[in-house]
Amino acid sequence: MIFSSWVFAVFLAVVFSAYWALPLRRGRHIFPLLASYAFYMSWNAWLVVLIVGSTLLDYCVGRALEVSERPRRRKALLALSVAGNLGILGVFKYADFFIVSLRGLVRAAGYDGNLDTLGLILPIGISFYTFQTMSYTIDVYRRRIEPTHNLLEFALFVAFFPQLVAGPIVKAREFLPQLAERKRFEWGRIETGVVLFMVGLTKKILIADNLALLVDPVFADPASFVTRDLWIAMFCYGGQIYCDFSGYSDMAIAVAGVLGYDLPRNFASPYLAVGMSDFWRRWHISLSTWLRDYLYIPLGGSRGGRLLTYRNLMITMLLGGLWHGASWTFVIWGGLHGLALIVCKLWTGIRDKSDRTGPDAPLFARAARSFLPWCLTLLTIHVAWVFFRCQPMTLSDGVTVESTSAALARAGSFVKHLFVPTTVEAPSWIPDKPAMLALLCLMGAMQLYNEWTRRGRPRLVLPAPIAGVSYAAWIVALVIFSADNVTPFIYFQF
Amino acid sequence: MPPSNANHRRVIIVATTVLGLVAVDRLVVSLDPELASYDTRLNLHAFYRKPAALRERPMPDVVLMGSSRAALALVPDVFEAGTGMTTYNAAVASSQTGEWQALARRLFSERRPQLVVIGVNAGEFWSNYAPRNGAAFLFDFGELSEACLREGRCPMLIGPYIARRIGDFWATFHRRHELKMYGFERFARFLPEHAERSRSQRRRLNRPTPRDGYEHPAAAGRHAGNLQYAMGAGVLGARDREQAGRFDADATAFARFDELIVFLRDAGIEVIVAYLPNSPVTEHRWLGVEPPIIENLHRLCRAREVRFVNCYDAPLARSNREYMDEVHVGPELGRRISAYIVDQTGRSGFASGGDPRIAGTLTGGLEAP
Repeated sequence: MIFSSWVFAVFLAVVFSAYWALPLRRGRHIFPLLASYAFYMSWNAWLVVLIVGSTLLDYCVGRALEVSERPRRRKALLALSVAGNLGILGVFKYADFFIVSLRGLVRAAGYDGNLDTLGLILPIGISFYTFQTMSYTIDVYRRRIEPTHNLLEFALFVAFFPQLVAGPIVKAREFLPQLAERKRFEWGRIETGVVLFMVGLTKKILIADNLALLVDPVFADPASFVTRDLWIAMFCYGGQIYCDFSGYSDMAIAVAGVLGYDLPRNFASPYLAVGMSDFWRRWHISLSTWLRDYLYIPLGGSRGGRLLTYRNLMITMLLGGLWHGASWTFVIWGGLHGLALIVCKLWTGIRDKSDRTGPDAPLFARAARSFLPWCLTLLTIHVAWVFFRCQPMTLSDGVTVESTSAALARAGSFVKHLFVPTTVEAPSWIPDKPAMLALLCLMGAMQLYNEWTRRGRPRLVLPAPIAGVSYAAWIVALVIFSADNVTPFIYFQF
Repeated sequence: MPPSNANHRRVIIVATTVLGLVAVDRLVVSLDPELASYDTRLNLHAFYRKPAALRERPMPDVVLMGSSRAALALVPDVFEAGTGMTTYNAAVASSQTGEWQALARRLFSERRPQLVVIGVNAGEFWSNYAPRNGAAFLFDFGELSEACLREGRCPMLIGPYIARRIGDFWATFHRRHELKMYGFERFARFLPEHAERSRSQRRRLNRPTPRDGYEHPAAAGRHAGNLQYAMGAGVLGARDREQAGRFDADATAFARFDELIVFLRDAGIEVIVAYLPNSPVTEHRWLGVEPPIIENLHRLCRAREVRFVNCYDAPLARSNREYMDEVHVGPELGRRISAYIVDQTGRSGFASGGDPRIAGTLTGGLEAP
């Protein structure tokens, strides 16, 4: 049941109507919890056992931490929670990856590696809700929040359907207090939610799904395309993944908003970032802050000198890459970002010593100072996306038909031919280039407007009749120009 | 902004939005005759075209049913030449037993042919059968509910069904694809590639329906190459491997097929079931599942006293070169399979002009009595 489907529209209409019709505060927790479980079970009914298990584990650990004062016991309880959640993640998401990798190593060493994979299906959203519940127990352990005594509220925090399957990863200290508040129906929230949902829907079905039509054939066989088309496909994929994921996040925030809850923003115009650190403050913000708070800082952060800082950055980004999927291509993608972050830190150190452009410098000089780094940042991000996109090919029933090394070779060939012109005798060609470029411009305009309002500039407010006509035109454009294919959200596979 | 002003603004926005949508809808309705020429449901093998054409014609003696496999493998003029009975191919792509049930209910409720030949294949009887896109177009609410109860969740059915119902009262949504195609052709100067695609689609969709409902894309010059060639390019083998499924004698596909046969027999229509073979490369890959499915189909037909023609074991020389892809026959092989079916059923007896159920007295094959 994806957000851009008619089935979800019916589901949301029922949930919304019933939710606000319920007079009791308790009813407004039980009902969305049951709706959330029903939402999750629409993918696979049995997988709800995992999420209930994770919920019960961390609720009990939280309560136990509350009454435990001995440091060893507290550490043991924390370890239980982390091991339990990472165990679920490890078994369902990474077991086959490690088995296949081990098998490859054994065979490379000349031995007969007949290790069978487990063949477990990947529970949807597992990477998100396990991280979410771990953040709760870690914060309780660190005494940053008081553990909740309300299992119902905690279960709703874990399973709340707008953010259950693809984030944003919500921290308990941001969400649990909202559950204690009495919710009132506000037309302002509904209006904001509807507009934000339409923005998300536009990003998903108008931009991302249409860009996918161009991107997929090129990434399936990059050797058949000329260099110019590889560049176009690379930037189109960057547009696709941004619009797909941020569109989902927008819809999740909108749906939560109309039910009276505020979810954290997950994207802040990432392709306007100047420098890789800036990019990670703007892209998948909930994951990057989770990695910063629960991995990078505990490793030492930037407190241990330059080399240790670089080590911590690389470990964080490698694991961040692995979080996205059980494949070496994701690890390489994370490693590229880690390397880019290290290079940016080195460059920043050199530049700060030599730069003479101050706040009184001409606008041109200040803009020029940012333009080249922005271009390099954009290029780095998109070249890394090539590895993110070039996963081993699988069929619709999940059977893998391409080895990891072949996928890596495909990615490497793609990147190589970005800079070394291809010599294809009868190249394939990308149709609809003007349309794709128009979609990228639309995406760029949306990011620029988002950045404009994020910096406190006034929002565009049209006179009411013109706003109404604009909305009608928007809806008609969405209906007519949305892609014919319905693709699942990219981040559902994580 | 004070709350009352904000509410006032919201009311105006909602009202003007609705008025704008209604105005666009009226415009779309006025353009409907032109937009209809881009309707992809006019595609010959889609769910709308052939059954709709059949409803407007005299009911033939023989109706051929099935999926896209039957749409290409059951050739009406071979049946007509062999039996003297008028024949129409009403097989539609992306259909399986549930859709055939719905089609039969709609096509044969008032007028009936003498005989229905259903072309089947193992790929339509996997254990995880669920109604698909075609059913979303065809099913009414009762059939949709029945499918959800029998086959469990039907994700490919409910969404398109809802979309279809919305299209019933929102013309812009109903004609969204056609509006895009229409717009592309109107703005050909700025979008020449899109305009050319729209133009070709319009021409293809508006070809007249063949008299007998049959058209093979290869014979019509719209498909080049064959399976042997594609295998050399390493393309189709990977794609079709995903179609292999499991055999389960209790699968709902078999139950629905049995119900279809009963419906046709109760309507006084004679039934012949013909098993259409896959390409040799697919047969080899499906060796574990195809024979038990065929045996189960044969058993069902025996129980209902329906003639079963097994082209899987037929002495028909078949090669991968004679297939368009792993499951769809080329035009020549389709004619040979159809002739084999006619020949086999001629041996057990059906004759032109007479009640097929008494034709068991005939000993001839293809000669008319």
